[in-house]
Amino acid sequence: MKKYRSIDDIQELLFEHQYVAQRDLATSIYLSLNLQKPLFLEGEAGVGKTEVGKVLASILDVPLIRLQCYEGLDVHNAVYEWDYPRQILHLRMLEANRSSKEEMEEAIYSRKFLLTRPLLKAIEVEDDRVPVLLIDEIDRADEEFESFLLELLSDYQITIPEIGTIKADNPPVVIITSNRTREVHDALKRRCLYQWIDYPSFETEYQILTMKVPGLEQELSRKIISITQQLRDADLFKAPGIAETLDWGRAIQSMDQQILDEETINATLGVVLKYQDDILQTRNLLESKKIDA
Amino acid sequence: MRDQAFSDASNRGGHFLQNLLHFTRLLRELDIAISGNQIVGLTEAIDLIDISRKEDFYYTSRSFLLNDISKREKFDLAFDLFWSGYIAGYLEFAGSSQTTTREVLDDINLDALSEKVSGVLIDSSLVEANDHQFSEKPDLQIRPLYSSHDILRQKDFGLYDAEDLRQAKIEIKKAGLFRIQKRTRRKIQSSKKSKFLDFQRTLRNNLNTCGELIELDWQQTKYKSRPVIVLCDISGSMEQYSHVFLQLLYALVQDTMRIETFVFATRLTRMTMLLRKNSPHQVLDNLSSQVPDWSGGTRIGASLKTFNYCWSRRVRCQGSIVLIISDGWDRGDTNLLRKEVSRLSRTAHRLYWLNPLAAGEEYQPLVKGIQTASPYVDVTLPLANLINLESVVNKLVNLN
Repeated sequence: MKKYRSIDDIQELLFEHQYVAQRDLATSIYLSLNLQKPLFLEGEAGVGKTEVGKVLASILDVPLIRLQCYEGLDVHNAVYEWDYPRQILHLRMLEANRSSKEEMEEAIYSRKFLLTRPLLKAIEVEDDRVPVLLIDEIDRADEEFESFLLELLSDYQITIPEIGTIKADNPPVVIITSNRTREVHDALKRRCLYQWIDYPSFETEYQILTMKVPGLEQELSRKIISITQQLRDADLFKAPGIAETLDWGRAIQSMDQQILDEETINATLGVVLKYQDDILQTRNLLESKKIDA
Repeated sequence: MRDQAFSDASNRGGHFLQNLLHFTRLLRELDIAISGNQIVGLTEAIDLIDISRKEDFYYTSRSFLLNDISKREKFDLAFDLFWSGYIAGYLEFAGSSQTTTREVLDDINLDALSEKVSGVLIDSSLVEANDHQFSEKPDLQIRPLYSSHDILRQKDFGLYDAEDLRQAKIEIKKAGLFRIQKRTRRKIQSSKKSKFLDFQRTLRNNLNTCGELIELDWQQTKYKSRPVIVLCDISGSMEQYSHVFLQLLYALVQDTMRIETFVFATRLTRMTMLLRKNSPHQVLDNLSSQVPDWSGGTRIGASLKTFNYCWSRRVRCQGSIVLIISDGWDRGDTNLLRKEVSRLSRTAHRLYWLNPLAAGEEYQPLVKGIQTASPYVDVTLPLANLINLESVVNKLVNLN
């Protein structure tokens, strides 16, 4: 894999691919690529963690392999599974040919009966286009799943009892994201570079909005960001992320609104806030002019 | 008085053994044959159990002293009569003056007792009618005055002194051992037939039969313990209870993996780490610096809000059992409390409110905090003594 010369390089590349990264994030991406270490991204929902994986895949021009985590995710869904029906059919055929037990075993536990799942896919690459492996929302998977990842993340290898150990010739770029709904085990974090993604500053967010929602009035953009930034400081159960800002921008653009008046804000608050309590509180704040619309 | 006597007797090892001897003689008088070896065996066994636990002591002595199941009823009644403290007054006498067992037994009118014991076997109502030989009615309800331990079990946490707390620790520690199970989507090997076939193992084990699946291997759902979150009120009104509850939190944190503990008065403090890493003494030493609002006023609503906003997602409140230990005295905003309790109850799997004041029969939930919160609470239980604690634990375990 080619080495990246500097952090500025990375920041520029990210920008070219429509991702505005603050310096700290660019630094850890730079380190992760050069040291071939997994990058563990944590932050509130909607700050652009998953996007990092997607953008990196497009920068490196390699496939993105995404593993969405959920409770109960296990080896069969994440790493590999044997194709049982085909194995059984094949066994029948072997029996007709009067094969020995050893032959049968060798035959049915061969690669052609192995169904590869995302993690194994990321390790087994035929050409040299090493993929980006995005393990998304790892905090949703249960603790047992984390232990599957340990071998993968430290040695970039996976052990399948019937076949042996499969090792990656070139390790994939691994991005792990977490919404921090629970603490992930230290053993896993230890193997990664850690980066907390914060809400962006006004200027950064403005840059993001104008980049992602082109054609939105400059004044309107500033107003949208000003309000979302104020909402993040207000005492809300779930503060809006960048994703919500972008959604809001798109919503207002699609409504052909030229100005953001209180009526429009009220009508579209559901795009930004996802809890009724938060919406009511925001309406109060707007009414009492505590949020400057 | 009698309990006191027994407690003293049982505390001083020598007297306890003497009492045990008296008991075995009583059994012999009732035609239950007991050899010296059995008694020696029992005395050794007693070192291994917690004799303050009635059940354990009963089963241990029964397994050593009773060989004939037909005499079990006799044994049970003798056991209850003897250890219920009914004879404890005599025991003290036996202890102090080195009287022989024979004399003690004579003294308590053993014949009458045996008669009673046999009498009861025929008709228990007779005993009550015939109890004139005893200064007090025998307590056949068996609940008893077993030891100071039983008194302790009923004693309000608020009345505990240091010695009570020391003695209650074992019991509190046991409460910390409970596990609430939760079904997961994961499967594990099963020895019995179930709904889920384990393809990988089935295939491997049936290679000999060339894909003819003769012996099937099964999987079963894996259960894991459900997380528990305890929010304990340590405000001024709870002061008398807070040391016991701190002990409870400590036991929970030490023994249960999936637990989070918080204390609150005017603000919320996470205690899990402090309790996990320190001895109880260190915890007490650090309390004032870590929990500045200890014994302060109460703002339940604000504390729950902090929990909901800052911790609920981090400690995975979704799907967990939340226990609020509080008397419900609240000086904060009622609307805020209503809002936050309702949010908490929507997030948690079950919300329990454990109230140390609710133990009395005449208790009425008049306190503002309780009245506001109760519509959102799944279960309200009293928690003022060890018996309450036991039933709370039982309720939780039965959630499985």
